[in-house]
Amino acid sequence: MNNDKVIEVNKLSVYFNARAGFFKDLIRKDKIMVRAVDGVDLSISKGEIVSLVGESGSGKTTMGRAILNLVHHNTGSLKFNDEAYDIKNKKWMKTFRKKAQMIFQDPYQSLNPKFMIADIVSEPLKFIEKKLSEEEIESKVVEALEFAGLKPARDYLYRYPYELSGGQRQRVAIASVFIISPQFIVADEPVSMLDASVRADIVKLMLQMKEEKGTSYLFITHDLALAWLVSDRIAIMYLGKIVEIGPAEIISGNCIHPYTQALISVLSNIDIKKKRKRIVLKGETPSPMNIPKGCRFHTRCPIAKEKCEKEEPPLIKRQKNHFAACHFSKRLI
Amino acid sequence: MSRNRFDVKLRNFRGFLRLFFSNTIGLIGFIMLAFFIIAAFLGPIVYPYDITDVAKGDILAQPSREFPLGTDQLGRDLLGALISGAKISLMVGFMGASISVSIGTIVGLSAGYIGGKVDSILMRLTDGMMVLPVLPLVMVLAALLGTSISNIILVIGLTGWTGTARLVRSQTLSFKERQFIERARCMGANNTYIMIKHILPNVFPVIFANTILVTSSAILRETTLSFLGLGDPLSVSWGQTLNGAFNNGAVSIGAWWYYAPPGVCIILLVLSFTFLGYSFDEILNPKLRER
Amino acid sequence: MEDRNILKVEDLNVFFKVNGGIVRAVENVNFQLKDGESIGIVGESGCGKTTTALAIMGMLPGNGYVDNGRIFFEGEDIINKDEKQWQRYRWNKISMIFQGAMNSLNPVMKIRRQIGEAIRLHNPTITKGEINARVVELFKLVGLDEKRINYYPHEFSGGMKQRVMIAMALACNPKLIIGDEPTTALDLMIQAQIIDLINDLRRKLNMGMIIITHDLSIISEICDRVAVMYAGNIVEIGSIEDIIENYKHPYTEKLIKAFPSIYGDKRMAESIPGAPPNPLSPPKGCRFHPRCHKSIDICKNVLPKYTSFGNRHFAACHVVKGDSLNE
Repeated sequence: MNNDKVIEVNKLSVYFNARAGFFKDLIRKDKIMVRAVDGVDLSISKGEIVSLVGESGSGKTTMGRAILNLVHHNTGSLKFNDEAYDIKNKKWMKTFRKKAQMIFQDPYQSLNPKFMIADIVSEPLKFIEKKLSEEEIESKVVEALEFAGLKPARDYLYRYPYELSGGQRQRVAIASVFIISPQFIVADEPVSMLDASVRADIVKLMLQMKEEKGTSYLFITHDLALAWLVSDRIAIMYLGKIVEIGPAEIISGNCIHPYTQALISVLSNIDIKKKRKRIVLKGETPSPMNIPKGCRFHTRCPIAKEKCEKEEPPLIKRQKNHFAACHFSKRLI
Repeated sequence: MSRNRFDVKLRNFRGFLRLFFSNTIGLIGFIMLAFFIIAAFLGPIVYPYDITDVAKGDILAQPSREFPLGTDQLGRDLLGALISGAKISLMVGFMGASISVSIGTIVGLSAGYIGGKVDSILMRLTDGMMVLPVLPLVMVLAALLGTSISNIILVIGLTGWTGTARLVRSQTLSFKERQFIERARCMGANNTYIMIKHILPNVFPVIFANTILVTSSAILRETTLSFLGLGDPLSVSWGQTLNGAFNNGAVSIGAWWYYAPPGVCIILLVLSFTFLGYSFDEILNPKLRER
Repeated sequence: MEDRNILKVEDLNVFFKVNGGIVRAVENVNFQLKDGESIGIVGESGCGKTTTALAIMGMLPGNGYVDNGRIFFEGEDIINKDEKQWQRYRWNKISMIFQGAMNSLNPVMKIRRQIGEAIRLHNPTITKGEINARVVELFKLVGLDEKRINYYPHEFSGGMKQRVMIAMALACNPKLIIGDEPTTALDLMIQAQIIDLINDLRRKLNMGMIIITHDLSIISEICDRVAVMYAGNIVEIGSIEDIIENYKHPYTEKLIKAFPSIYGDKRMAESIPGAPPNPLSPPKGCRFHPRCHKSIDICKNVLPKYTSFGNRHFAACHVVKGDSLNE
């Protein structure tokens, strides 16, 4: 069973140095650490889509970047296809880059404005398959653009990103990943900047890539409903830790952690007949510079007890594939 | 509607030209500069002049039919000197500026993109160069290296890059954080590739506008050096002519034809570059573009 | 009945002069708002919802103008007022929470002064003590800690800044507040907090409210009525219940079906094929017909008129016209 995992993450932590302010920095000797990701375990199987859901500041994006080695991780071990990361080894990194890719949030920022579409889509080939002829490259680019729904592809080759709409740009970004058909993709809020009317198309495109190539995804999003729709499993992140992880169905059914329950209760819905009880948490997520002791959620938890202030709850198995980090498990809704 | 790469580039270039020529100030600058360039290249053919020729005229003669701009203290033709000066000024300007801008771009790109210690060292070097009083430094360097025209270009190039370096660094810093850089890293691009292929084309418009301004300051610097007597005595630049006028009392005896024409030419040439720089800034910097 | 309308918009047309011609941003818009009622205007970006709000505020940009129509506020036509008269209305009677305005706070000015400024600009005679008292009162009203009035904007989180923006809009006790995407770009939980705050304020202050958003769920939490806009027209208007459960217009149907529900089947939300029309040359006839799954021949040539479905529920569509209520 073990070797059908694409990504295995153990006790991953990513810390950043924070600046407290010019004078405070001068006086303080110990640096303030922002614990963006704070000891997370996660594994993704081949062909599986795992969503990482959390509010801003939960560390979900940092987690995705650390898995792709785009930010340095402080502790923890990472495995790709059952092989430990060997980031010093250029050859290993090259195969890793070929097989693990990223789709970025903002299609207005992620495409170089001075590159034509043909250059953007063919760029990954430069680093991976250097021996291709011009014609081979062009036919691959055309194939990728057509897959991404930009038809006829030849009309798009020599355009600049500014000539395209947000949805079309994200299609270009997907084409540039499709061209090397990676095994694993981190998709960081790939549709959050797009108009609602094109979101579904972009998501469908990503699912189609999974069907055709067996791609695994780490789908980072703040949108629980979208996560529920696309993924096999969902992980809920709060302040640098996964507080609950399980099959996507836990969202509509049997979630355990009070944070998950609160998020689901305020989920936007237009179902005016069944108005559910909303659990609106007080205050805001504490700063990752100053993570509360004990359970990191206890400051806002509606069912927190004394134990929660002292002891950090571990992620415990509740059902098959379903884990939650809470001392209590009470249904609130 | 099939397009190809060349057509698109051509169309963009045409668009740029259209914008440029609809800008009055830029157009004036362009016409002025074109005039000087044509004069520098065609002038010596139409109106041959050699500084080593034997002087033919009277000493400090007023403008006349034979010598349209009069003569100097040795009876040499001043119009010829003026025309050959144009070539020197432009050459020093363009070559000095290319050296300055190349150094500035390399320093600014590496400092901004690599960051950390490299940034600290390069920027302290830049700061150091910036606070050094330029003129004395240039004078010492020119005196040390000797006064040939190539040395003057070198000295001007080696001292004029600090502004470009700071500008390129700040631009690089802003592009470095953009997602397309991270995307390139994720695809496996190394630093050199990212700097040259991704950041440089984006910073280029700013470098281009900056080059024009650096050129005009290089021209002024050459004039200053020559005026102070640190120029190449064998190449008659406008500064050199002014230096001659000053040393031979042309100002006090009212020989305006000696000092006025090179003075006016310097002002006009520098002004043409300033106009061009201003208009490029307006075209390339969308924030300044008037709606 | 008529007298109780706090706001009445009649046949409003707002056009913009641009290089390529005239953009008909808002055309033939009609709606009424009763005292204390809230209406949501929903539509895709560029459908004219923000322009409608700016026209009501008398704040159209330089190239925009009201071509036709009237806007009554408390029975008085305000469309032809001059700038000076507008200033008396703006903020004192009608105020607005602008989209993304929380990022427009001056970073080097204390929050107390920024809210104070808004009060003083509209009440030049007010004293300093009164302003301070009012700022404290407003802070309490929007659920901010009054100890923080002397903080700078960067010491506030996104949600708190949005509360500040709401406090500013409330500063002069307006009768009507317009919120342009008041919760966009906020986290889910903060969104819920702001929605609760707005509902709470409505109960306490009995204000009229117009909420402009692309997110139908926010409207369903806050508003009594909904106007669905498409390409400058209101295509359907009615109570929230009527619109969500008994929609008539195919565009409304698409909007509602595009909404994912985690309690339904796992199906990808339907997207609306095609793109909104170019505002410089909108299609003839019904503006939605090129993207409509129900369009028939007449839709291509004739702009549909409103059909009443009772209970102030109207839709402009040829296909539902004359149909019984269970279509």
